[in-house]
Amino acid sequence: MRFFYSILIIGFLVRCGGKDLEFEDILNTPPAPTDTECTLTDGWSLPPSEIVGGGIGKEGIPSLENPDFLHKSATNFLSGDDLLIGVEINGQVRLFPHRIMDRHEVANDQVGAAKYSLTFCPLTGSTVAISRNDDDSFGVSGLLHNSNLIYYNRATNNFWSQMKLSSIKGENVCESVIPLGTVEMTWEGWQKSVADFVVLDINTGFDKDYSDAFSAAILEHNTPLWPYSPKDNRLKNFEKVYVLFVDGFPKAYPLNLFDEEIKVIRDAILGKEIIIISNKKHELITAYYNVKGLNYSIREGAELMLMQENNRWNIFGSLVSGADSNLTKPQGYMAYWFSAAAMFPNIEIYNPHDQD
Amino acid sequence: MIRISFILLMLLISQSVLSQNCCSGGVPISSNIGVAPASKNTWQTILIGDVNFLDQLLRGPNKINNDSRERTTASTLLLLNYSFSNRISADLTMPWVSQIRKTEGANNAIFKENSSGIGDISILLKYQLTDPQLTASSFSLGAGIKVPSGSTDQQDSDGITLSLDMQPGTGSIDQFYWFFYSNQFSNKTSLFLSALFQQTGTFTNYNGSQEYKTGNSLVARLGLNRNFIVANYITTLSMEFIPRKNWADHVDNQLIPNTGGHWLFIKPALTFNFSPSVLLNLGAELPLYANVDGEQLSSSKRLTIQLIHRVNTKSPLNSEL
Repeated sequence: MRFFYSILIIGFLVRCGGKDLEFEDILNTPPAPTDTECTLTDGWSLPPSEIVGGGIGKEGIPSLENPDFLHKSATNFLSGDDLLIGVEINGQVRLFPHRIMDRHEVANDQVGAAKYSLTFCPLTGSTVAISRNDDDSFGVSGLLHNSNLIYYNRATNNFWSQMKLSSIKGENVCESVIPLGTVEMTWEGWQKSVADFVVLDINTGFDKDYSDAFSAAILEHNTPLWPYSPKDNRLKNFEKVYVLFVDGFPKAYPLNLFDEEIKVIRDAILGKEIIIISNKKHELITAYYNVKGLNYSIREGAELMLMQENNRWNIFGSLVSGADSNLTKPQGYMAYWFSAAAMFPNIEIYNPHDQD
Repeated sequence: MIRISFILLMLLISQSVLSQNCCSGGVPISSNIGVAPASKNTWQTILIGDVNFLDQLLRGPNKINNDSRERTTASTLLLLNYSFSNRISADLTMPWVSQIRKTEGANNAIFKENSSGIGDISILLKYQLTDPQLTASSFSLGAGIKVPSGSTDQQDSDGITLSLDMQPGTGSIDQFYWFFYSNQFSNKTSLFLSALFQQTGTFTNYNGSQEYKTGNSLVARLGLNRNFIVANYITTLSMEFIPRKNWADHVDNQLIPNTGGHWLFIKPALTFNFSPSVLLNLGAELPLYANVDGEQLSSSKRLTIQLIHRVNTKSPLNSEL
């Protein structure tokens, strides 16, 4: 419950700070895909035999604590195809390069009074950002489930499965986390999509190799180095998919099925309308609820805008102009196929022909 | 007396303490095999204490400014050697391994994981090509195996199986190939050269469903000994250079990043000959050079203490030497 209250508090603060992350947006977000039946084995909601040590121990991968950011005009260490994860907090867009997060996996950050943590798992390519209260900070547990990061709350020693979006051990066990919306795309894509943002400073205070060597080594393999089950060969193991949850129901959107250019499409999950924005060239897939069942278009320019009549929304779904309200993002994240298939067996795969 | 001391000294200095790096946690998996030849019907019992401090985080050849990770591996080994003849002998090495892994998190919080237990037992059969009674030189060859007697399923306090590098055992059957050469220039000075190649096997039950192969390793030792008389005891100062190469580990035939590398150690040691049959050896192994693949914790020092006792069971007096 403590975690839930923290979300309410942060949500309130965020609401007071601007219209970009609305309190209602969080409350209206459907529950995370927590297992309906949560049974415990030795305190774990997952079979302990499926959890393995990554080999470096608790906190063996150091998290970033209140890191510094550079304005985009001062960022000179990125190349066009570098991937970055973006969050929008209190109207400020903050970007986290993969190749820095490869070495830290967790960043405990805050914008004004709004505290949040961004978690990134280089083994599964997945990102989840969460709100936190003043007492909470998160660290890398050193444990993996289906190759995926298990992070933990230093204040409560509560363990969380990143991709399952739920607590797997501790006082919050079986509770769901309600993630903040994140968007991932290439550096070139961000520069073309958002007018103003800041980027995590590569001078983190740690002596780390921030080249993409680690990710490159992971992707050289045909199969993951850590165990996962079940295996699903409908797609290649390291094919990137966007895992989207509606009312706890997951659906995978393979990046390879989308066009190189920016595009907006409509889809439906469990009868709920979804808008998907995609750009394969920039490795972008993101989604919003289409509550009104309307058709949207995209305008590219100094900033990418989702448009519907006189309303304009940015890539995070925040209303930039017009009389409408913010778009609500369903929970979702990019991930490698093997991990999505292992975490959510028999996950439905998006088929563009179903829309015909 | 001098000659006996020389032979006993060889027993100590020829032992190949395999200073593991990152991903084997410094467990002396095949440690201390390769005792130099002794005369027929001789039993040698060697009790070894070995502590390996892995607290230098390296990237390639460079030390990283990061003191947040360290691990210590303390091992006690019992080595039994028997010489069936003047040329044929065998070593049996039984380790007890205790490991501690320590990490420092935010706000200087310290986290520890530990494990302990019987490690992997190794056996080495050796054949001496030269006759030590006729020549000052000695040349031996050997081959052996390491069997997976150590546990690989120890758990942490949360009931999660510890990673393989924290387990006392490796789960694999490994093969060893060994040679040893020594030459005694005088009663005071001797030279030795040895090498041990470890052909590792595969742990087929890694994480319950995977195959893990620790990388092969090659360790050579080149050393020089010099005897002194101190308080009526023969005391030997030795200096070894120990180049080592580890090949990368693989899981399911795929290379694991941050494994493998090569090192050069120097090991000064002091041996006290309390009697013809009892010796005490103290040594410290220090890195002169290291170049690891990726980022790895590497040994900053390794301390060893060895107590050796030797007895000939078929001598007329059935006495100690």
